Amino acid sequence: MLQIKQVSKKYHGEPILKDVSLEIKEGERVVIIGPSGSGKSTLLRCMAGLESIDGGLILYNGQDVNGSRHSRSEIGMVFQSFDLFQHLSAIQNIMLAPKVVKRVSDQDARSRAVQLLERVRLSDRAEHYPEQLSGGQQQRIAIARALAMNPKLMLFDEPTSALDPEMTSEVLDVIVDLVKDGMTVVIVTHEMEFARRVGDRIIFMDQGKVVEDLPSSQLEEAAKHPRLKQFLNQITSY
Amino acid sequence: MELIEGVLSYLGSEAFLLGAVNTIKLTLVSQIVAVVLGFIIALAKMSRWKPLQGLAASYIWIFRGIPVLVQLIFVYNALPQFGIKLSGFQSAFVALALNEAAYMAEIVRSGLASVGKGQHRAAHALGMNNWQRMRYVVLPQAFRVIVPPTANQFIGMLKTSAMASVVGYTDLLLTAQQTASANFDYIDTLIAAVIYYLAFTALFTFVQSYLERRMDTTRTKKRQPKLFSGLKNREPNRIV
Ligand SMILES: Nc1ncnc2c1ncn2[C@@H]1O[C@H](COP(=O)(O)OP(=O)(O)OP(=O)(O)O)[C@@H](O)[C@H]1O
Ligand SMILES: [Mg+2]
Repeated sequence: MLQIKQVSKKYHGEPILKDVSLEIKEGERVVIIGPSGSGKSTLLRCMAGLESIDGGLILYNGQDVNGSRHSRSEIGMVFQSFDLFQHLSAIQNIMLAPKVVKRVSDQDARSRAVQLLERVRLSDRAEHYPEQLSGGQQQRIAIARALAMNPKLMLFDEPTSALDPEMTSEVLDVIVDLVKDGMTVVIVTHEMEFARRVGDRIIFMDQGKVVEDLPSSQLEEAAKHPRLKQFLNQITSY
Repeated sequence: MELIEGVLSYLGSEAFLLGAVNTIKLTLVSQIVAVVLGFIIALAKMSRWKPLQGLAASYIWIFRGIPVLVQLIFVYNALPQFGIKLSGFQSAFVALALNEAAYMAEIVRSGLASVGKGQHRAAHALGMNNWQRMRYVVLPQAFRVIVPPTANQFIGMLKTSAMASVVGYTDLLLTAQQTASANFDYIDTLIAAVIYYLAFTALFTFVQSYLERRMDTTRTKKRQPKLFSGLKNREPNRIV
């Protein structure tokens, strides 16, 4: 589905991604972990075609994601900071992209949005504006907004790390539902328990490189890399 | 009593009505063109292409740095030597619009910059192209920041437009002066002009508060007290 071939990326001359290669197959649930600054968000943005790359190739079903509007509309992305459109209500946030990008009629966009609001359990918040919603609610609307474009692949960049603990589970539940329905997902997260629950493959990044790529069931046993061991220890010792 | 009668007779006179119409015409045309130019200059200044940025910055520096009166006299008196001869109205319009565009560019730029990077990124991720992002995500939010100061600029332009009287444009001020030079009735004529200026300012202020209220009510109609004070929706401080 998504092929990442020897991708490198620099910011102001400083290498951030170094020769990253990965393949994501349809139906896979990939979790990316790694220390802060290791390039996880950058990699995800590159996958979504939001950033130019300095070397290598990213192919979505054989098409370059950069410059292909088609692939971009099939890849949905959810950000740590939600980034709901502040001037639009929840339901308008969900309806906007189908209407302007896919030219779906207002009526069709609305009925689809109503379904999605139900799916993220926020039917009663349709007319609320982002500033009137809690963080967890905003993030669920952001997920619904991405789903409105009918993506085949969903990318989540630390979807709960800006949330209070009590709001984390409401967002994670929505993602778990999505995964149960067979959505292909790539998730960057620090929630190890969640990572093991939804992920069938765990990728560990460090300093711009993929240093481990394991089935999640073997995380502890197979963790050979000293950096990964150290990272897991740090996380669990909280 | 005599004073009031005198002022009233000027207020209703054909000359003053024409002066008032001329003042408002010059104000609106100059300011509207300045808003459009301001958008173009702001976009140029925010573009990724360095020469374009430089051009926009130079424009703002030059047109903001030279007194409007100097620009006006230059257009009216110096341009004819290059074969460009403009009427009083045309000179005033060109000078005021070009000068004001420099101020509008800064207002528009800060409005566009107030829309965070995350908004652009989210729109991009949803497959919107540059134009769609601008039209449906950035501009509606930028307008909330741009409209209030722009309304102030309209009021400012109303007053600046009085400079057009020095190049022979029969606006309110020139009308008052011409009338007074015939009968030495400076007090009544100037009061009549002032009443028109204040009435227009009141009108603009009214439109301004109407627009501000309207932009707000689209959101506040259903606003409820914040239920979630422990909300943490800001990104941690760092470069994204
Ligand atoms: N737009 C940018 N301009 C300059 N440098 C950037 C930019 N985005 C990221 N970086 C740098 O790239 C490196 C990797 O950042 P990235 O956000 O991908 O890390 P991350 O693994 O997601 O970290 P975290 O766990 O803290 O989110 C960091 O050193 C960061 O400072
Ligand atoms: Mg990150």
